[in-house]
Amino acid sequence: MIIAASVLYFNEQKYDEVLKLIEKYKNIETHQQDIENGKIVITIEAENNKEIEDIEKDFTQHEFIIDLAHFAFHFGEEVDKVLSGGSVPDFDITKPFTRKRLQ
Amino acid sequence: MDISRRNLIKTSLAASAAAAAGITFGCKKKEPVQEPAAQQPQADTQNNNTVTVDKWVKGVCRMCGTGCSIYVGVKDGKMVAIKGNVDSKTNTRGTLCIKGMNIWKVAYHPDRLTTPLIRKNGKLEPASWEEALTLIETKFKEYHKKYGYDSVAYYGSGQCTTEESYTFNKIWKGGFGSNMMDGNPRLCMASAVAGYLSSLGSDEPAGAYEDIEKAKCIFLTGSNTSEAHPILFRRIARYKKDNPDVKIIVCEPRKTQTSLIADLWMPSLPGTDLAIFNGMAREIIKNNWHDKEFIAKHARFTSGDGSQASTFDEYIKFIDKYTPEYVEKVTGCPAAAVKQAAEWFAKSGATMSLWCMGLNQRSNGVWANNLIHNLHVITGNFGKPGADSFSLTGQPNACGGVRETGSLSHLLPGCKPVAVEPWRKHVESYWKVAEHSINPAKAINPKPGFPAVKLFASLGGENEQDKPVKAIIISTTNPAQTLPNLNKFIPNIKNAFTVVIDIFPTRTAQLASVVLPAAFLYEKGGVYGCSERRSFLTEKAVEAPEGTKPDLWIACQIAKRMGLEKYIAWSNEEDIVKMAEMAWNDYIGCTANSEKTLAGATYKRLRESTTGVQWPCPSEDHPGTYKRYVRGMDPIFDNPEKYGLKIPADADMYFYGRPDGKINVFMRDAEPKASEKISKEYPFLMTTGRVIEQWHTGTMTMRIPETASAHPNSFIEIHKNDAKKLGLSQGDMVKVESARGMNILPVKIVNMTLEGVCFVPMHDQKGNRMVNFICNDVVDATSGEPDYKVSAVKITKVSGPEKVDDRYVVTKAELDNPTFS
Repeated sequence: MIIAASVLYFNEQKYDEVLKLIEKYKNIETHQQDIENGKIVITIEAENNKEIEDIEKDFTQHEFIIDLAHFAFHFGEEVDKVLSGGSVPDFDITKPFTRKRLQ
Repeated sequence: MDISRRNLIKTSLAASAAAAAGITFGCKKKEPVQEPAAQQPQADTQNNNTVTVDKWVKGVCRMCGTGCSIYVGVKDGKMVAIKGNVDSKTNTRGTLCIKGMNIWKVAYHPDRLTTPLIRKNGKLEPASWEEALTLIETKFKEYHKKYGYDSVAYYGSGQCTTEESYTFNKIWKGGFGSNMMDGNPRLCMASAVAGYLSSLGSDEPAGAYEDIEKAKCIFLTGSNTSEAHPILFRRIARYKKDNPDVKIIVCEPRKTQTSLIADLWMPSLPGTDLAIFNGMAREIIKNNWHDKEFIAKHARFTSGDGSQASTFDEYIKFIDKYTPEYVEKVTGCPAAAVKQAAEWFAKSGATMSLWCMGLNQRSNGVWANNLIHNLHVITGNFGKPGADSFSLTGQPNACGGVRETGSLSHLLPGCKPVAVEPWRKHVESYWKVAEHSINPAKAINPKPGFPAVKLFASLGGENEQDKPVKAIIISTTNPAQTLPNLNKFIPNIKNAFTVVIDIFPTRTAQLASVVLPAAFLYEKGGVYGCSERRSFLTEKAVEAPEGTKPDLWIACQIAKRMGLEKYIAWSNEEDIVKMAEMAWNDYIGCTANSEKTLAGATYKRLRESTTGVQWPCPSEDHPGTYKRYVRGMDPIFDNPEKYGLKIPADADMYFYGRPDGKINVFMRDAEPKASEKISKEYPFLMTTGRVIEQWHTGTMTMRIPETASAHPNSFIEIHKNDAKKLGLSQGDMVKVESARGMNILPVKIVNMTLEGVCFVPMHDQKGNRMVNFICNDVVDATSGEPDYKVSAVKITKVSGPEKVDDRYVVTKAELDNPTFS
């Protein structure tokens, strides 16, 4: 599990649309907001960075989203998995790549 | 992870993000989350937060040349988080990109090398550090004796720390009395160095990134900024969005993502853009848009190599042939675009040019750099906010570690040529070369060593009489993949006694005699200096994996074994952090009297600073320098004699690197004479470059699943009309062949390039997809930088689509079996 903290910059006239967009994702929480200046802090819980990227792509295709700027990532759980020697399929690049885990 | 802990982490990280974004008032959440008082944004910005981490350790991202400032979160001795630095002057607001956020996957990757390897009977076998270092010592001493001190070389990297590069430089140039050391910035930055030196008289930009937000016109040329420097591109894009009147001009052969924010895209056939720059200059002068006062005060017109003074009138005559129509004919750039670009460049009030490998990696790369500087001189776009001629670096420490420490074959610390006697004598004296050198000459050799391409051409086995370099240490770089015309150089690397220092198996490690497993940046710490003259300390965050060692420790062991124990005073230090501090102090003392002085950037200051320090910084109470060459901003003006310079007392702006204080305006012919031309046999021009998710040879990024999956293999982009002519469909496999080598690649049909121009990225390690088998090893005559951007190729269909998205990397198991097919 990775946790990303990001700042969503948006057209301040379109706040309701932004909330609707965010609500599509169960793994996104909103935190501090500056609606007047079109800024919301969100956190994203994701299996991996690809999932975060996909959200970013989805967000930024909307005209009212100016930018999704990532600021912080917590990946301690993933590091523990690697260091414990358990199977971490993402690292096994010798095997054919599967997008299953990333979608 | 239990929910309450997860919520605490989220709250804590969100507070940091809020502080970064300048949101300081109450929150409004989708779901209620417990928010302890200690986690309020104001309290959390950069402080330790034991809920999330035990400590946040300051550092720099090492995945491109921007120099983004980060904090690494450490808990129980492990990297568990990463966040941007709110105070950062590079990645403003602490924003990170996809490569930066995945650094931890590199650090903890199971492919990390953790044991020294020695080749025995053709196989790389595990060895102890003692055994490996003893072998290196024996071979180096043997070769020094048998073949002379220049027979043992060092090849470094813009990813080594400044302390590491400086130490190797000191060992080689002073300790061994040999200039046979170079670095991979020769392959990317050397033309920019020579461009600054020949035009302005001193390397590196006059301005800084903050000029971006002060510019009225931004001229991006030879740079796919959106993919090669994504965080800087974000800065530019945001600035443009907030200031739609600011003009963005993009000049390059492909209409990349960078062009999306452009007001004007200027296409140009690879290698021809010098005609565009001369054409813009002609248009500017013809329309009387030039800055007469600036020219009178600060320009020196010159023909030929710069030694011959000329006149403005001669310059006008020289560029007269570059009419917009002529430029269109030779470059493919519409005449109207040349006119428009000239007008915006000259009349904006403050124009900033940014360029990268598209100009540097050329047979006429230095001249291309000179012509950009020309445009800035004739329009007066120097020395004022938002106006600068700014070369972007491709690596995080190419500027600080290699250019500034002089770790190239022709330079000394302070980026001054070895041939310049007064500075050479100063360095000899500072290093006490006469006392310590193991070379009987007891002096620094005034003759430059070999630049990279010549160095690797001269490398070979003991039985090869025509190859005078017999041994080489290669650190943190992968020349068996990055050199052009690889077929020529791979046997040389294999035949010589080659020592590779790296964290992962690479193409070069496959050819090595000895492989030394290295520590990663965050496991050792050190200073990186980015494109804008800013040095920033990464502090050691976690312990290195057992069996690995920092490069600085390795350098010190070699120094000790070669009899340089007293010369490298930090070689007996046990603690790597103290070692680095001693090396840094030695370096800033050595260069204190140069215009690149970082004398005020003590380790203590760098530890405490959250922004780093920009040189010149002559004293601890000096804030560092945003803009060079301007009185009141550049501290060199306060005491020029100290730096061996003369600046007239009444000069407000003075380019003190040049004897007359004026910038050379060169008359450079645009014809790329040494570049390869298309022919009947090879009818396409191929150019190379980066894609956003991958960096360099993919050694790290191809091991990060997300980045690897985005570009799991190389490909060739060709224009849809060319594809039609060749009967190609999307994904077809083609043979791409030059006079030197070939690749088998899938086709990506596009309409964002010019007809006749194709593009292949450089990151793929698979033998028959390594584009440098195709590239030309012709170099710029001045800088020695290869022409990666212009190769004549033919393209023939091999088959329909095939599955090639294998995310290939060299594995440990393949170290003994290098197959380049």
